[in-house]
Amino acid sequence: MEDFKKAIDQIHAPEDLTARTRTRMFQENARLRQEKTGPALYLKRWSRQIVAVAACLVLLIGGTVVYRNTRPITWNTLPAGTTIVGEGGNTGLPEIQPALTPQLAELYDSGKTRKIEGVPVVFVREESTDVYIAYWRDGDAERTYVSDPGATEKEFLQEVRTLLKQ
Amino acid sequence: MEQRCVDDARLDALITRYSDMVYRLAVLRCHTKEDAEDVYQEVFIKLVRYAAKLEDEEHVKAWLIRVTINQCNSLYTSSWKQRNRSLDELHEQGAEPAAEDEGLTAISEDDGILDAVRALKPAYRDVIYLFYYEDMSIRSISAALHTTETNVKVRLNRARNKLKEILEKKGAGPYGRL
Repeated sequence: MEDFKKAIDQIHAPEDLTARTRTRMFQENARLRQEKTGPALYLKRWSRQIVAVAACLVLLIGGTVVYRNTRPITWNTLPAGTTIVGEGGNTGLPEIQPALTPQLAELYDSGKTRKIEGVPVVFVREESTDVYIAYWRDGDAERTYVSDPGATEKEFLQEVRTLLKQ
Repeated sequence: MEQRCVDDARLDALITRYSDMVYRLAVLRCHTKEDAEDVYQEVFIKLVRYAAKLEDEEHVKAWLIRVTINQCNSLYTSSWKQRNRSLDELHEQGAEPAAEDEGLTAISEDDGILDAVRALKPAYRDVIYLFYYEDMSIRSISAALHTTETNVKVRLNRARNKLKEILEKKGAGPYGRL
């Protein structure tokens, strides 16, 4: 293997190649040095994460706002601090639950809000006996009993309209 | 803080120290001088990016050997290289490109021991070079080549036998010293 060693000994990296490579190495090293390192590099990565988190927050908040504006309003989800004006309690109205038409029962049980005359109205049935509507006027919640529980939905809504106009 | 670059002085020292080793390995592995030069440059450019992670000199040496071999392999497995072969390369191989796969390429009467080694399979060339020229131990070679010590010994034995066969064909050679 001495011959092999001697032959290998004759092989040297050309000087111009070494010089060119050395120059390129230094340039590459300088480029690496200029790149953001350490905390700055992490910050660069964090900024992407911050943007991603901010986008998620915007979506979450936006989604919540949209949901709150479109969700059904029920008695339990009245805005905090809402003052209930008026009392529909003992108004001498007949017991209505037995006579409630299936249409109205469905309307009441759905808990959905309807806009009547531009006023959101929620239909609430309490303790399965009293039926009343809650509606909002000038930021306050009001409620009243339905005078004719045996009415059709059309008649009932007409009655509500009349009520709201008072 | 993650350190990603090293001093120019250290890079200078590294290229000065390992320049010939990388070039020799590339020459043994590549078919043309130009390919060897390309490999040489690529290896040292990669070294700039990884030098900060290489702890000691042994680590650097093993890393350079590994990367040089990988770089040579990827050079000849690239689709462009597979489709395009230089005329010099074909001339060197006696226009018999398939012969290298068998570990025996045509070598002329004037070729010496170096060409006999170059006629071996790349895996055999590596161990011959590292064992006989770099005086690396079997363990160091196995670490550098990411293989087992047994595998290195087998390769070394087969490489010697092939080399003997080639030199016998040639009609001369220092067989007794292999």
